Amino acid sequence: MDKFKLEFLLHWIWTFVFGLLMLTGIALLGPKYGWVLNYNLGLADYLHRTLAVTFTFLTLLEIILEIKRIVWHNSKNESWLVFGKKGFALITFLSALLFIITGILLWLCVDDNHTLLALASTIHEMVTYSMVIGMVWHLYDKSHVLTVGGRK
Amino acid sequence: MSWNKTVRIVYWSLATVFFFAAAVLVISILKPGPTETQVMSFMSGMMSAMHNSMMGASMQNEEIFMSLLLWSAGASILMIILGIAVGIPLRLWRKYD
Repeated sequence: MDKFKLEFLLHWIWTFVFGLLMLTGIALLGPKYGWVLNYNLGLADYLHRTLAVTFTFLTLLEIILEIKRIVWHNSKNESWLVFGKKGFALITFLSALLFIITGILLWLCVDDNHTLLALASTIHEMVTYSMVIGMVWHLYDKSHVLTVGGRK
Repeated sequence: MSWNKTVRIVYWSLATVFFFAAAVLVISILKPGPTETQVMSFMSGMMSAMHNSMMGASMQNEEIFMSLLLWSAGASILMIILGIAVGIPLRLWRKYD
């Protein structure tokens, strides 16, 4: 079983970090959403920022693994790679880049450029909505792993 | 408990997190409001976050902002190094098992 393969472990660490980022990010969206963490916005902000830096490093690692797969033509652990050149893997790659770029802008431009801040905030929010829908679809598509047999 | 069952519990837990996030979004978007209570709760949460969170501290003090960035980067690198340090012996142990 692939249980100790790097790609397998990274996939699940990625999932854990992304899930927490999603929940803390939703809590920070506005008054209608803050109830999910009981309006504890200090905790939500702290977790979101810390995990965002971890997410950036994980993205970099995944990009390196994907490049390694392309250069060495190694498709052995392809099923667990988070990024890829088609399907949901490509959507994940593009959304990760959008999250990181808009996140950096949100972090840095708070006092300076409000137009850029508004644009980054809108993109960050829209990508969040699409990734929530995408994740539900991904869970449905891979639902066979949730069954006891684990076969498609 | 076998490894398979443990892993499937992890899968189920993470799947639940994402379904919960989707449900939160749908509920929050479709419900009427926000009510005055919710707005006041959000604003008071934001105000207390201004004083005792990294977001507020970084807005008021550039040094704390830089140290947060450096600390987060350091913690992430430490976690990755720890992961590699655990992963390599595990991989070698599996190879010679």
